[in-house]
Amino acid sequence: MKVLGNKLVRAIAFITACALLASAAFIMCDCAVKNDARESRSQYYQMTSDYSESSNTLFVKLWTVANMYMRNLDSNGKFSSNKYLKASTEEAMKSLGLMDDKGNVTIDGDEDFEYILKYGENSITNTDRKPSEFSKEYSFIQQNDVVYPPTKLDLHEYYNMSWYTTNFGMTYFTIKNLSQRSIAIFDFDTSKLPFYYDENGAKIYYKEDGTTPVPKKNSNENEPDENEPYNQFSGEAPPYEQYGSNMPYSIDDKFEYISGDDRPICIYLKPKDDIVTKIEAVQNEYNAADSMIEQKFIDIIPLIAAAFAFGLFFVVMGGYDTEQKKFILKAPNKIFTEFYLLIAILAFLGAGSAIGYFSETKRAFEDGRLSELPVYYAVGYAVLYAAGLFAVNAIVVQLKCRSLIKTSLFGKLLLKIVNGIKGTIRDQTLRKDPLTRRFLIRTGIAVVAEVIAFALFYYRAGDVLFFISLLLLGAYIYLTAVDLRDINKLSEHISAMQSGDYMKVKVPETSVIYGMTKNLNEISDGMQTAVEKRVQSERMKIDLVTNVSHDLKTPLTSIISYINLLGSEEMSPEARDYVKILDEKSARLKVIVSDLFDLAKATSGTDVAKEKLDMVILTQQVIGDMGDKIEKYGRDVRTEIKTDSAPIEGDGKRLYRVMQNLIDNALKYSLDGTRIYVTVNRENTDAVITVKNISAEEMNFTADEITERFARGDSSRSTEGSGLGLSIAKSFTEANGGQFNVTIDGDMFTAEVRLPIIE
Amino acid sequence: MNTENSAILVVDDDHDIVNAIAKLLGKEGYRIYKAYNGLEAIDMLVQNEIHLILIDVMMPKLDGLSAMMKIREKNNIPIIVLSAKSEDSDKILGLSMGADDYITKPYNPMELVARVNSNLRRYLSLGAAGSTMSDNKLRIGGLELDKDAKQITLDGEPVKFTPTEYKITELLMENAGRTFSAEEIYSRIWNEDSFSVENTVMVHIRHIREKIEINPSEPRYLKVVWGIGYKMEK
Repeated sequence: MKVLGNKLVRAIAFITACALLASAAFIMCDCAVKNDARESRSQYYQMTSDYSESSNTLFVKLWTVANMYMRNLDSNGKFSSNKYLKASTEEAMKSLGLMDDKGNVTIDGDEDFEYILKYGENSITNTDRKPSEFSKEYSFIQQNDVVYPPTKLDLHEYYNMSWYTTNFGMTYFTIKNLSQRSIAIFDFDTSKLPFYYDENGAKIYYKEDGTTPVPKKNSNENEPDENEPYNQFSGEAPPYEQYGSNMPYSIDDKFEYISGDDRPICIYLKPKDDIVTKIEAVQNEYNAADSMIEQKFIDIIPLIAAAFAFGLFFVVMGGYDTEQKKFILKAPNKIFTEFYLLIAILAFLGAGSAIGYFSETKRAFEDGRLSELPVYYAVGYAVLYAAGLFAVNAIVVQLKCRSLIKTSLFGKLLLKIVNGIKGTIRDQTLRKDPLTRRFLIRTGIAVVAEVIAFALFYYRAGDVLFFISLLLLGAYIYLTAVDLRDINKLSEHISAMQSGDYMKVKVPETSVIYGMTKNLNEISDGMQTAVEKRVQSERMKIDLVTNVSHDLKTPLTSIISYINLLGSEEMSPEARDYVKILDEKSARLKVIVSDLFDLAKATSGTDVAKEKLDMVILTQQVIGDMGDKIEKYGRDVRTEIKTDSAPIEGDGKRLYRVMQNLIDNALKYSLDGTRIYVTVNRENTDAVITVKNISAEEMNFTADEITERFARGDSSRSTEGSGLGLSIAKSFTEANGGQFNVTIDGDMFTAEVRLPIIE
Repeated sequence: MNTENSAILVVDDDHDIVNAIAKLLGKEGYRIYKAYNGLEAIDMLVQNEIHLILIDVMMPKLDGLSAMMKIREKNNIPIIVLSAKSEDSDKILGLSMGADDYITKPYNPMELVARVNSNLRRYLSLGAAGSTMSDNKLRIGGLELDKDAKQITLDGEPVKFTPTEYKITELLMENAGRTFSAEEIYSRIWNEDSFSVENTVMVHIRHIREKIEINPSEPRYLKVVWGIGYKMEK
């Protein structure tokens, strides 16, 4: 094992195997090239080809003479038909070279052959032999319609010859390998008739009185007529090569074919004896050479066997490592199995075709179609063998090392798929993932159902299986529909949650959405708790504000009451001034407390009444209501109502506060002698109310700052108002679903209220 | 019957406020009884002849609304609720539980006096006197419109109205509870279609309110339905 497993030994075995095969191939090819058989074969081919042609031509000539001429002879050898037919026949015979000027039948090219042509009582021959002396081995024999080619001579090529006659006096011959392919003879006077050449080159006469078919005219002038005579273009018959094959002349329905006379024709034709001898000699020589090559092939069989033996050894021992004492997979063998498989297959195909087409290859050598350097072929075969051997060895080594799956691409792919499936099945997630699991199971069912249905369709098997497949498909559809319905439920569940309905949904454990619904229910729970907490804290906030406001109002009530009482007491003018200040401040404090409470309520977004009202009317009402105040300030308030109506939905009292605050604000902070513009308009789907005024003070604040709580347009802090006016306006507008914006442009202050219109 | 010497019960858990109100109303010539919770108020009412009650809502022992319900079981004297609760819902609750008027804290002393006067007048001169209603008289609370005399009285006191103001008031009182748009009022009073004349109506409405309301910004009779129109409270 140590010696045999050695790498060097293996290499030698490999090289020896290739060398042996190369030498066998060399001997084979060299033999084929050098052999005399090549000459004998080409001689044989030449000879058979020559004789084949002349014998066939001769046979056709004999057939033509029999059918065209001898058919019309009476028992005395006289032409029996009318003079037109006779003239026409003779003209045809002459044009085919079968009759000389004197009207005698001439058959050329019969030097190497002997024949007997018999038609009825008449016969033509160039030999003294009797028909019985024409042996089947070497002769063409036609008896009646049956042609027997020679069995021993490879001379015959079959020609499809035919003729027919018509009821209007034309007889048409399809001959094909004489000087003309087709020819027609007529039994009427053709001397002054028009004619054309048909597609087979036959000269066809026709009468225009309706007794013969005439060439059909094509409706399109630019195209040749159907059965168009060629001579309309050239006046001559087209060259032989352009004829259609085996195409009889077609005639109108009113004219008909009349089949040929079937009196017995007998043709006996054989090469002369010396020719036969000559052919047979060449043939023998060729056969001898052929068998010699075959002998040579048998001689090299041991060489080939030895080459295979060494190859087998190389493969068997391939990959053995003498140190590790086992087969291992090393570099060149590690390449993908498919690669080696391809090489092995190609090599096998190459070798197979080399063996399978041995005789073909041999003949190619003999014909000189292959190169005359056999060493190329020897090397070629050796390389083919070496490649195949190496590839097989690599595959076998991979097999020995059980690494076929790992090294082959297909194996790897397969492994991956198998592992993937195994992994998925083993994987816990699949058990928890009802969608995938269901999908796999149901797809399996559907596929099985389809396969069954297909098989039934294909093999037309029993009804029971078909019923089962229908049942399976039905189950598939039903289960899918159930799942979709459940998923729809899930979607509804989510929608309900989205719209604030934290309902709990119960589904059976078998449902596909069981897990999801469970989770959703938990989320729903959490959200409901959160919402409840928020509502609760909101309520607490309002309670707090209410309480604080109440606690503020009670002492304030006392303050106001006693200041009032104090005011009616006797006191010094100074003290009266103080009381007046106290009165004003307490009044303002009252406004602030009330506004604060309103604001807190508005921002908590509770208790907003929703009624349908018109912002046009509301604006007019507010301005009318504030008439006194406007007069007091002496400002000109210009109202521009640009729309008939601006219906919105909101809390009238709050919106009144918004408008009141805005106009209040404008009155308080506008410059003396300027006008205040109040506009009501519709923009798309919004009712837009703007209040514009020119500020008395420079507005050194931003639009955002002014709507903050307690922001005031003047740093001096006038004694009036809470400073919450714009904040309240903004909060109330937003609580009514609108938008509140302030724009400052130089000294122009614009407050805009935007509320969605309802129709 | 004169409102002078009328007895008024002031109920509030805040002694200072009770004293302040007592002083305030005392100067008007009223006799004042004081109570500091609902139970005391009921006791007071049993022991004394009271013509009007001013009562707070949030009080210990018995709150104002409960006390008021108890009082209303036997007594129909005017009750004015005086509360720090200023929400509309609170006012509606108070009025529906038998209060004749609702004043929010901190009150304007002048307004308080006016309302007390108004309620007392109505109670003593109209309610108690029980003057008969003729077909040609419309009455809402202390507001009375005499169609024959074409005169309007508030708590028995005649009020001077211009003819237009009278017509508007008559229209609204005849259809008390119904809301009229300015446009409709205009066309009904002037008998012609309105065209940007809403302001005219509003000015008239304001004038009417100034005449019949103690506090025009918190009207008792003629109310503004914001964004829609005007109506006379039933």
